[in-house]
Amino acid sequence: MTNSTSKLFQHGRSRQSRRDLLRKGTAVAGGAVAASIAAPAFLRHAGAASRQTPQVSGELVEWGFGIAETNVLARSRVLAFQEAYPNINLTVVDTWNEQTLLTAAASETVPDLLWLSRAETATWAGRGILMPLTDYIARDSYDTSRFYEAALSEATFEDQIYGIPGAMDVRTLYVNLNHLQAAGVDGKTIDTSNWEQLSELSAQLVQRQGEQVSRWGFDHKMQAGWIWLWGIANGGTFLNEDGTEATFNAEPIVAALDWGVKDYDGQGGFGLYEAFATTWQGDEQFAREQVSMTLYEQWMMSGMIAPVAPDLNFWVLPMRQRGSGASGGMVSFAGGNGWYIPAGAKNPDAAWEYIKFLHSDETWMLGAQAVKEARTAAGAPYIPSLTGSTTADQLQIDQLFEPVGEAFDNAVRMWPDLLSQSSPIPVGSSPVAGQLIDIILNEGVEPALRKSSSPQDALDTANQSAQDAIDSF
Amino acid sequence: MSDEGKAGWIAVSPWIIGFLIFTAYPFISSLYFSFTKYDVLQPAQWIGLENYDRLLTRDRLFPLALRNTFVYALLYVPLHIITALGVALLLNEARQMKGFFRTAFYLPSITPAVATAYLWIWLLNPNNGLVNNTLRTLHLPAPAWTTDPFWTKPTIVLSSLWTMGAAMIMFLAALQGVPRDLYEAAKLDGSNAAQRFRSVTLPLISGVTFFVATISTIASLNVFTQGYVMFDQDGGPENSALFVVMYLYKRAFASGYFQMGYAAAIAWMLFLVILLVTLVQFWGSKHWVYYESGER
Repeated sequence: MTNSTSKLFQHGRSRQSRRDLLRKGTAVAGGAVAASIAAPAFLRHAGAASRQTPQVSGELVEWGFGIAETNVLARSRVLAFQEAYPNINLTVVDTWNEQTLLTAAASETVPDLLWLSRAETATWAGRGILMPLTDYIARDSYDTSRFYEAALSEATFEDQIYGIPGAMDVRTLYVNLNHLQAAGVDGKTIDTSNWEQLSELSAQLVQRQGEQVSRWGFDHKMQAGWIWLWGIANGGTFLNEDGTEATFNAEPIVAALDWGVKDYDGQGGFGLYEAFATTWQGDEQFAREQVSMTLYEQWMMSGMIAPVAPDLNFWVLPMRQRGSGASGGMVSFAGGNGWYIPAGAKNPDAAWEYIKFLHSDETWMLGAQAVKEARTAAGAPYIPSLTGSTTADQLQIDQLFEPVGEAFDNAVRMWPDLLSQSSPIPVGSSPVAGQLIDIILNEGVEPALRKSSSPQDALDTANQSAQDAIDSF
Repeated sequence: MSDEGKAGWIAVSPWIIGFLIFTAYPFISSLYFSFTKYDVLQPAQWIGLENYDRLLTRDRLFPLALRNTFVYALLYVPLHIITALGVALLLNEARQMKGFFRTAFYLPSITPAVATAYLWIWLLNPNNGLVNNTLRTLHLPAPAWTTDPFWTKPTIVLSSLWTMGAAMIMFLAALQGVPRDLYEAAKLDGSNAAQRFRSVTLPLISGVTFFVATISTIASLNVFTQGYVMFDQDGGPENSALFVVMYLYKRAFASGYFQMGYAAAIAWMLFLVILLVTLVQFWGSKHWVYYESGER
């Protein structure tokens, strides 16, 4: 271990314990060799949080953040926290669901920390389940400007910050260059703002004999809830500014859905898509070349392509505002989880320390280093994880990421720019977000794709139901 | 109270306490909550008949879920009885390996419903499931079992029929209880096998048939697991597999609805429907169920 590495945790603990700490991190990384890389700059700038002597103690119960050995990024950081805060007895409950949280709240046995999808912030904050973090943020002058705007706004409800972003996902277009080349198109130059071109390609790329599909052309994922992306790209908003009025049936969204229906029709129809999709396993359809073009989150590369088909000839492109041209404004909706403290938590001070510790750049880099070593030991490329923090993401890209291949490198370096232009899920600001998501999918998108309603009629119905849900909260 | 009486109360008290806490109290509470707006987190707010009014006049999905549930029951109950009785008849006539076949046919009943549902999802996969591949080989139409709204309920019925083991055992026991001399007498009167089945077997097992019909009707009106596993809480394509209990679950626990009062109203509507159907079945049984004691 280098001296600089040992400066990683300046908590007043002994040098020996810091060594133990890093050893644990690397042990988690699958027994990889101890870090021997040159001391990166970030290690010499420990954050304010990590310079303080820990004052908190007691029991700390967190729900939802699994630290299985396979989850190196989470485990290494949590182990580091336990090492840094020996007076805190951390209990990790891997999973929870809506029912467990409801019953815990009703019986006043909530945990101290919740690892929660940020899209549910308003759902729970609006029901008084979550504690605003505003006071803690002000007390510690906690810098929230380093978080992506999309992430922080998603964790905010009625001007109060309830969560600290701890992960980020972002959606882009993945294209199979070989399939596109066979169709006479250079996949790297597709203009994703040109939906007519996308439709033409969809119909060209699909392969089927009668009703038996062997390859789908373009999976636009509207049926999976990605109507948000298409609606935003077409200038739609889904809700008015203060979230009191549903606008599901606004012209840009109807037009987007209409395009989605026609795009699937050009490939054989939604029925054929669905039948074919039921044969996919592990969501590896793109990596297994069963789909030529698909929208997907960033983890496609590390989770599917790298392990399943590392030699896949693919390319990643951002979606752009419809009609804006090949260099127009990027569009994506970004989500992810964050850390929240429930109202009524028994040890909120310790919970806040935990949140700060896990989200300091130093801790992120410790985790990222452990991941890199684990992946290197497994012979797999290291792809940075998106953290929700602009600084932690950039540090990973600048100091840990090593070129893997042109497609991977292009995508990784595009992420920060794309994330800065992304939006959160448009209905996430409503306390009835879950219902609105359910309504637009089941009453709007699906009936239109199945042709039981026109896009306009389906979205009219969905809009009425959405408005009822908003009004009756 | 006598000592014997006290001992009796003490002996049954664990059951009584359990019944009061875990059955009677929730049962009565749910009736109360059905007249309230209640999300668990805030105190229940009395709204009178609003939930029932909304359910019966403004909810687009409840009538659909009720219709789906009835269609499922109408498909499932007769087929369940026919399948279970058919297998029981075969086993009753079996000369060899009776025990093996009995076990083999009963086995799916003790297989977890989730595992069974997943198995059928694969068998009935529209694109390359075993069933459709076989149908295509035979140049027969290959339905989109799990993706076409028309076929989703038959798909669930098909997967549910597999677990007819309990009914089969009851029919087998009933068949073995039919007196042999009645068959011999009918034979002497010149009856053929079909006539003996219709005039001897069916009347003498009608008590068990009624029991199986009643129980399976109640179970089918409460169908949840197969639909939930195969099509999730959203009820599959165009809500074609949205059953009442799934809808109740969704309103109470899923997608951020947390409408416990409304879900309780759904539960009570379903209870009333089941009660009504069961009463009709009991009334109808007077006309076709034969009891050896002579009661009808």
